[in-house]
Amino acid sequence: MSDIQSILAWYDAAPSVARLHKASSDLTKIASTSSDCLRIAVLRNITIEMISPALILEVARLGQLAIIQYGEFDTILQDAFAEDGWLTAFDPHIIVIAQRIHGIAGPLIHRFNSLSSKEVKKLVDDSISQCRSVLSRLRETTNATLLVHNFEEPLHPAGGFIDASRVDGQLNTIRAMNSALASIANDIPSTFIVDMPLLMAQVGHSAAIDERYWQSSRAPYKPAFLARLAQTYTRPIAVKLGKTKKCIVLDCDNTLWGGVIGEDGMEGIKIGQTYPGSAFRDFQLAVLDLSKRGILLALCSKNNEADAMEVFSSHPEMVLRPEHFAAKRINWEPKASNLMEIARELNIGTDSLAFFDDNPIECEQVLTDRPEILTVCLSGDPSGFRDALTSLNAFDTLTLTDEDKRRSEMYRAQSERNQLLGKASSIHDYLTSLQMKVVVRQDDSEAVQRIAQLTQKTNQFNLSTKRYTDEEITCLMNGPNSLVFSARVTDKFDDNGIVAVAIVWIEGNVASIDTFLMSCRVIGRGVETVLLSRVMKEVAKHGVAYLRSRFVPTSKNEPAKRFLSDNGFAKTSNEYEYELQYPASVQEPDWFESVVFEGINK
Amino acid sequence: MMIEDKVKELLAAVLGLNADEITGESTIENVETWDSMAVLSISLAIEEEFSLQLSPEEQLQMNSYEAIVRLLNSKGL
Repeated sequence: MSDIQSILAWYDAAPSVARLHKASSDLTKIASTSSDCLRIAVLRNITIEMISPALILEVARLGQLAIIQYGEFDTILQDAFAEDGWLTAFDPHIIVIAQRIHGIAGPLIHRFNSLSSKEVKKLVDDSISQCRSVLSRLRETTNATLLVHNFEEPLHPAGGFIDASRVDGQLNTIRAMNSALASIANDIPSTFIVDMPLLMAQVGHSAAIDERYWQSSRAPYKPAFLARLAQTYTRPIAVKLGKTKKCIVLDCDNTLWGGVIGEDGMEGIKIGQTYPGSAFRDFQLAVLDLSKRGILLALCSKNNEADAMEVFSSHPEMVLRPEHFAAKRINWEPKASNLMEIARELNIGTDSLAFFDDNPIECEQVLTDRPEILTVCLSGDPSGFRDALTSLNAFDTLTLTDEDKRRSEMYRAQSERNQLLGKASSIHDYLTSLQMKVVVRQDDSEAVQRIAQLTQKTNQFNLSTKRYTDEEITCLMNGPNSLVFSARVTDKFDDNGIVAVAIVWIEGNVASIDTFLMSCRVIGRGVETVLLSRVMKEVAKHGVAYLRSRFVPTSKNEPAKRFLSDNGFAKTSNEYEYELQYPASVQEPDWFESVVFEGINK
Repeated sequence: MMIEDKVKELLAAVLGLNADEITGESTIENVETWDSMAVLSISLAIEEEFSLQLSPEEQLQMNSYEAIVRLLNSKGL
């Protein structure tokens, strides 16, 4: 077996312990000959090497090969503070701090009742400040995403029945430590908590901890829990690789309400305060809440559109209303083709869709025709629908920007624009009637998160598809030779927010466009040309003679393919590279109401 | 599958070898990838494959093919 997908398929066909080890060692063999691996470093005060096979497999599910290295047992501090140690040489993408409270503040576990409150405070303060200094140090010395285990809660707390009622009890002491760790994660960029109490509650304590291996080898976790941990470690990776879902597409009958609207009518369908209607209502509440995290909603149902929409607009118990949906296909066409149209209308890939339907035949067809769509078949008791959605882990983000919270409003504005387009006599008239205003800013420190997020999420109009973290963007803004441009677009319907980014390096008389991208939500409106024009003007002030750029083709960035050649760049003999010689300029489209540049001198 | 073959298959997978590279004589002494961490992994794999629980002493006996088969036999497998 030679490629990732066939190894995964072989494992999934009959999962077993032997196959897990075989698959992971086959993947490791491929990794040893590949230059493009995901490097994961684990610093720890427990034995956790047995997680490797599961972690390698989980990373492979994201299409990546993993190389994992472990620090020595209980050397977290030394590993983090070593000058030119193994971490520096390894240069990891991810650093996991796998720690148990036993190794950092053992007395809190073993003899809590014998400790004075002063002693408790000292143990707590010392361990938290150690965690803070380790994470700060790693943040200063690496670009890795940091994942830190917080502390397990004791299954049988030291104070017995009253323990949880006492603020200074063992449980609340450990909970306070975990909350202190959360503040640290809040303060230090790209640092995330691996929430042990939560993960252990999900699998159950007895399925998570193996006291025998803890005693024999300081290896506390059972294989099933290691698998859960491995999945958790890969969640931020999935976000960075753009593997998360952006849109929930919902069937209507027996998915959002019980019964069939075309047969049961408004009076007959089940939605409301009593079962089974209450379960459908809870499912709708969960859907709506996810949309507040920036996930788009769409409808795909075999129904008469007027019947179905009547439920959304008039049924008093409905949570989801017509304005919550960014797109809908309510007709009698096959669902797979409707789903493709929805993706096209929203300018996202079909692999960004999660589809929920109660009909196993429809689900099977979509699974067969469009395997890249995450299809969830909701069957049987609707009490389970809510969890089927919330347990998916497919909608993660690493930051929550204001843009995310407003995303569905933005798409609604888009559908108003589309209506205007339908009425306009020409594209030019339409674009003029949008009354677009563009503000291009250079090195805008307030936009760091959004810019990093755009580099992580933009796949279509993206010349180089380079992904950056918040701190990398900050470095680029502060660097003397790099310029970060961002364009914000407003029109008569909405503030589209920051939608385009360019990152340029200047070296001697050559300026190189490292990144040039634009959100798909404004494709076709000329924003990219305005941004390029302003970038060219600004770069010219640095006295450069050449502007170079690269178009690195991916399976998704076809929309950006001709951008460079259309704007006067000529292909050079270097792979992917294009070049333009000054003096040069680009004609800005005349349909913008205003274009403003706000820069700083570097 | 005979218990002996199952053990060989499991050892080969955990140790990153082909099944025919594990023999009756294979031990922690003569197999390069068989280290103390492999002892743990083998122990976990044996537990899961044969649905049994090993005591901490038994876990640390996962040092040779022969010892593993003997242990499984003593448990009636």
